[in-house]
Amino acid sequence: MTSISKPKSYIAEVLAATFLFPVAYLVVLSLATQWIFPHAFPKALTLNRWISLFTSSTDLFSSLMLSLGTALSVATIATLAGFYTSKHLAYHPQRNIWMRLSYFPFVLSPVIYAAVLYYFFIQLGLSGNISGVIIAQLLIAYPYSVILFSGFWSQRIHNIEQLVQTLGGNRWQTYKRVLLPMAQGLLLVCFFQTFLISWFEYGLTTIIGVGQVQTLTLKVFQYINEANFYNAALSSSLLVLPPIILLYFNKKYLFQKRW
Amino acid sequence: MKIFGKKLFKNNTEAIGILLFLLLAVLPLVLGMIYALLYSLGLAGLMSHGFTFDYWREALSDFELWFSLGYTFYIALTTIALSIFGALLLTIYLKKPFQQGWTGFSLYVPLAFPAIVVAFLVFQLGTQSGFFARILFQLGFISQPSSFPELVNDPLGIGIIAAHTFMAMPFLTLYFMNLYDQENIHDLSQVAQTLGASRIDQTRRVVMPLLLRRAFPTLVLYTIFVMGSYEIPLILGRQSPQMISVLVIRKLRKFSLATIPEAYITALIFMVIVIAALVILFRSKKFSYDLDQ
Repeated sequence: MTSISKPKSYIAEVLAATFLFPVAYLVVLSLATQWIFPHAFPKALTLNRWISLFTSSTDLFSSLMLSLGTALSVATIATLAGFYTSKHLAYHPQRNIWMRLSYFPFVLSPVIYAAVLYYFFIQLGLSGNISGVIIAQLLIAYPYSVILFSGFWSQRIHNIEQLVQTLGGNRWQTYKRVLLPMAQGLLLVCFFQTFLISWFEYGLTTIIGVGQVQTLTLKVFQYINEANFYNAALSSSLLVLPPIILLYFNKKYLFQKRW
Repeated sequence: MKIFGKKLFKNNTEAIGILLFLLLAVLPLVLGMIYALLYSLGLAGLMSHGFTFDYWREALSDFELWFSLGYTFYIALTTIALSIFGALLLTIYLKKPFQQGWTGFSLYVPLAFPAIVVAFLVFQLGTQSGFFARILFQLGFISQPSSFPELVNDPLGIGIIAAHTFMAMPFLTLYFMNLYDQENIHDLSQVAQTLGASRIDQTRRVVMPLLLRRAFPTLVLYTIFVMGSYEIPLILGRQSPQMISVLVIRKLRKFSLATIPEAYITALIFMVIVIAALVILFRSKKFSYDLDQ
């Protein structure tokens, strides 16, 4: 084991504390009864906001459930559709073109993408409702899923697939017994990454949802506008908490090259 | 149809896969761009009075558009430069401590923050009555909130840059650290040392060029991501200049319908810039489709 010099270790610890400080700040602000200038610390702390979130049917709790439902739907559809599609794109002679095309919607600013698509969502009756928001978020999460899975479909996987079919396995059995188990780790990474794309999304949701689909990110913005910083901190804590839990289980679920 | 289908696709499952991709990834983008173009030419939407270049003439002569584009580039390039600088320092000098224990864990925490929460945090910490101002007040460095420098909603976009850097730097550090191990940069650095290179030379001529060259596509994609950001400049920016996404939505949502074509033109210009950047990037030999490298 290599040793780390003391100064380097101290600097790293100071920086690490800087990265962790925002989490503590948000939690403390969400617990503060009052915390205004010039006080460096809140006068008192209370659990009331957190308790009322789970004991009474509040707007924030509805938003939490809405965000959760939306993110789970987007993640499930994007992962399964991305897995299925990426296989056909990866083995297609025009693979390079397909893969390049999949970057465009993913890299483009979601809010600008939503702005140019808004007309079509109105025409299809998909603006201002949850299904429209899910479809809109899929337009970003799905290409990401395709890109992520493209690395999985190698020549080795192709050979294994052919071997299974030679041995009498049908397409369904190939997926169920070979491909899905082999891709299990990547499927989980993709599920959590697309979950987070939806969970973190604000711009596209506010445009397509016309402010009526009040996910947690929209709640944060609403509370900031109302200068209700304590509730903004509470909703922010709710947004940050699931990814940190994921981080505890597996860092790879959170750190994935998205750009 | 069957003959046509056979020509394009090997079988039905391939056809479904590729059609699904076209439907979800390609068609919306194409339709969106066509609609924006038609609107900007007076051929679609509430402002359609027949083909005209008037909206384009007005938009292109509007100083606000170019100012906003310049501001967007300034924010994105400053953010990426600061983040690369910080990430390189951490990777080169603090790689070991950041790969173990709670310090290693801390580097992942900023990745758990959505942009809107980071914007809220920077707003809370950096305003003239925010947390930093309170600390300085308690320490006796300032006597009133207005003595604290404007870090939020400021003309230089300090708050916006700080928020983006908080998100980008840990991400790039983790990425550089992965590359450092994957590319055997430590061994190459040792070879350089054996051949007489000083510590600075090793960093300057081996470590940095290798990391930056390998990370170039990701750095370009991240810069595009920052250019298109919305929540952070919306909360931490000011009315003028505005980053391009904020400008597009402001023009689109104004009560006056007259600004809608200009909003679409601004969106189109941004989309063309992004597409051009991607096309150039795709020509790079170093570009890989596999994100999980």
